[in-house]
Amino acid sequence: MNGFEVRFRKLGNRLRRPDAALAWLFLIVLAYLVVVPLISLTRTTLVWGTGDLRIRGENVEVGKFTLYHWRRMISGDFAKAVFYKPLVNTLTVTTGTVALILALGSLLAYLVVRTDVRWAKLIGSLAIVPYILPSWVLSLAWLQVFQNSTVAMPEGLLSYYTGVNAPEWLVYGPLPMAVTMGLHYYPFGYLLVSGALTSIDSQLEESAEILGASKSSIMRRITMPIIKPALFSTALLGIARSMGTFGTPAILGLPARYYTLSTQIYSLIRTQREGQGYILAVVLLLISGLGLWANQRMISARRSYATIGGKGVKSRKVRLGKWNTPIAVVTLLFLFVVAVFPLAFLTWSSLTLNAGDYSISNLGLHYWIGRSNPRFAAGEPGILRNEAVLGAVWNSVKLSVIGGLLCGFLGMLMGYVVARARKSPVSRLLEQISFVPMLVPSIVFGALYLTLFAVRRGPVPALYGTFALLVLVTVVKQLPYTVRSGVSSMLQVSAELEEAAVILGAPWIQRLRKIMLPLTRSGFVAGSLIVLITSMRELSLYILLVTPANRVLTTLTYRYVEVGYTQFSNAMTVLLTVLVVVLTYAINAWQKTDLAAGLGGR
Amino acid sequence: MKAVRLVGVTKGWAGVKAVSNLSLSMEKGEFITLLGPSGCGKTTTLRMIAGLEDPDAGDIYIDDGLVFSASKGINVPPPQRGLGMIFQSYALWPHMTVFDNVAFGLVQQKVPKDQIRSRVMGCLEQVELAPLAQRFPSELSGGQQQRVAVARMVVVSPELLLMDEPLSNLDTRLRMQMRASLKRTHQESGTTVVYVTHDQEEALTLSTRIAVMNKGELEQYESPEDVYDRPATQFVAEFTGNPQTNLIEARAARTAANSEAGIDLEVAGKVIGHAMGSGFPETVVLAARPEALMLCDRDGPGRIPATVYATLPVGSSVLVYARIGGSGAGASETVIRAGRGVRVEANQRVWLQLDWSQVNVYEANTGRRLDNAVRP
Repeated sequence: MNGFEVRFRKLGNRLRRPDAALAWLFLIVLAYLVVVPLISLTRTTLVWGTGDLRIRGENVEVGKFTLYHWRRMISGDFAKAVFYKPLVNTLTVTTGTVALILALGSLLAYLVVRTDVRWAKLIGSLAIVPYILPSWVLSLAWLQVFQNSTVAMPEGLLSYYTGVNAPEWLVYGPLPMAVTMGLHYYPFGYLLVSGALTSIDSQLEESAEILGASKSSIMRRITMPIIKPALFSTALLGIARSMGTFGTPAILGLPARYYTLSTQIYSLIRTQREGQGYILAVVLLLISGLGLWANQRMISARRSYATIGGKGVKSRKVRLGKWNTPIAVVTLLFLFVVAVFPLAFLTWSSLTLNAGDYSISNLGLHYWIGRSNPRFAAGEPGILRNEAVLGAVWNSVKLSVIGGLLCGFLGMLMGYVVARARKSPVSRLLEQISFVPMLVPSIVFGALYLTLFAVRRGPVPALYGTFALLVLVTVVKQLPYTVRSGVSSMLQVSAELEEAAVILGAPWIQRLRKIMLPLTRSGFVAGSLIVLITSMRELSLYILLVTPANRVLTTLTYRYVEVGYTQFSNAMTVLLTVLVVVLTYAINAWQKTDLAAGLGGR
Repeated sequence: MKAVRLVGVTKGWAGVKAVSNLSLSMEKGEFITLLGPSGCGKTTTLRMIAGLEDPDAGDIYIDDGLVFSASKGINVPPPQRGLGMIFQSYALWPHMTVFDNVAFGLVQQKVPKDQIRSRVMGCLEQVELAPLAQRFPSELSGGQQQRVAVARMVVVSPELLLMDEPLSNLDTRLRMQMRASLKRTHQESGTTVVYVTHDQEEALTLSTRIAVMNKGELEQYESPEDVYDRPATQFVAEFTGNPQTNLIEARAARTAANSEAGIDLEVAGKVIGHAMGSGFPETVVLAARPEALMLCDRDGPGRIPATVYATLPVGSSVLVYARIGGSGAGASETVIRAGRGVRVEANQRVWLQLDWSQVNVYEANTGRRLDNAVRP
């Protein structure tokens, strides 16, 4: 037997295990889609750009190395105004947002999963509604409720009915931003924590109870440590999402010149200061990277215990007793204000012919079904008659459904690969790379893909202006969420379940199809649904990539916001929400899974 | 023809050897138990036979066919090794009914539908689960789940059945019943079984041969009787004891006065026996099961003085715990199985008489058994 033949056989043996081959394939593709953009991002901060030529004139050779951008952003008045102040603002707003996400998310999760609270199902489904809404719904509604003459704006709802003029700090700035973002983003905290809570066998808590632990010390010493990874992930996701958000800081910050890093990046890129704008993006990346690193360190060791085995998980509900109804009522009231009121208010506002006048005589359907009338919005027809709007609706639906399913499926596959080869460096690297897009602010991600796919590079065609580019950017950007959901679902399925199928002769693809995917179906549906909802109402990611031929609902809505057609943007937002809700429920009905229970078992 | 043969199999993770240089062969139709404490490498060995784990070195043969060879780069995938495996957690698929779980292997083999039906139901009848065919695993009791796991592997009629602690999740009574049913299944089918357990009683009752493993190495590989009566090493003696094997340390001194007897064996300063032969180590360990010790109420030649610590009646007999060499440090605790009529009290002084035909002698340093003649 010669050495060559032995080596050849060993290679063959290795290739027979497609999970290893797949890990390599994913790694290479992701490297191009994630790592290359990151390198070009960093490179942009270190060279002269075309914009610099126009702004500074001489001494600029486009594409040549320079430390000019970094020097400007590190010290001096420019750095203070454009970097340090927005940084402090961002950290302030993010801290408030994350605190709110954690508090609301875990409180609601505990209430729904672990107590016998009345109307738990209703609470559970209402709790995730804010997540379905576009992120700017709350801020638009907030503004239209609180705005008044003290901030030089038309009357809002509050002032219209009570005559009370809210002070400026309640209308603009960090407080309204943190509150509206916290109320928008807490549902994923709720989903993650309730997933973790569902998987706890209540015997763990009962044994502590028998050992004489009080309710609070069971909470502190048993329940909290088990759900700690979920809380940590929630905080991390909260940081990444709220730091990269553009809509809310733009609506509630820009009028008062309160800049955060994301709005600052946007304005720098718009004024063609990419070099300096991307430095802020690098800073955002570093902050998020630090969070990711801490997250990895904390949970890698303890994530490995399987919870779906041959036996079921027992769970016992905490009795609320006489407090049950009051708690349920307060919770529902709160959810009503957060989930139902803003949309109802925007609908109402879309029916007012002249903005700021809430009297009955001012109501009308013009912005929905009206024919072109030069008296309103420069003759723009109502949205249900508007061909541009209808085209955008179709594009949005197509994009989010295709992107969601594709991303969900890839997430499960990667989750499988990562979970199976937990110890191998390839899978570790794969997991880490797949998380990187989460750290890149959407607006920057869009800009990067614009440069990456503007021209043909080797075998990769120029995709700018195509629908495929929108799908691609959606899938890669949202991959972290589905991979996360995929890894945790796959880890919950004990390896023995698959090994039994190996022994019985099921090839890899059959194992995946018959054992692993059915057992993790709720993770897949939850992952896909999150991507679907997210991309349906994603604005910052697409705003630089769309062309008139493939415009989506959000970018069109933002155009109406920009030109100040409040009722149009309100009506579009309502339409968008209705679409998301209908799609979500259609998929739920089809898959018979509940998004609220999605991240847990079946 | 050997059902399974391992030659020099080695496996380790991150520098820690789980199994080192293991060689072992099993005849067709045998019931082989891999016995040892947790972490001894028994499950790893089983998984390597199954093909779920790849050895770092060595060859594995099944039915005389080479299925794995590190040096030749051969690695036959698990399904082509013609074996079945029952997992500790049973690994029943929670989203499939009992019927679908059992049918899975036949579906993979593309057996016609009507045949699948009759074979699955036949198998379920054998394990008395036919009426529960449409249930889901979570709706079954532990014992029923275990039987489904057995049925799922038996239905594809493998030549070789691997079991990884299949009874460890059951309660004692059920475990006894399942042992009987496993033994019967084995005898009826004639399948070769490799069975992993840490329960020495399970090993003794089920096996044709037991492979006792410790720290990745094979300590002894013989019939249950030999393993029980003549443990090859001190570790085996200790591990197979129930409730425990008494290990009594003895000093060996060559006597000038009585050169014919050769060596005196001293326990607690008293000569209790003699040994012959050269190269006898200075310290040895006498291993005696509780039934190899007799309780006496007065001193005599070869008797070891001890103090009663506690007496535990277990129905058919009484277990007497006694300490040799007083009650302080250095005292060694022994268990004596006495007749149920024996009356002793705590702190009472007693003398222990060894039944030398049931005593094995081990070298204290190495734990190797010494086969020198030892007599009173």
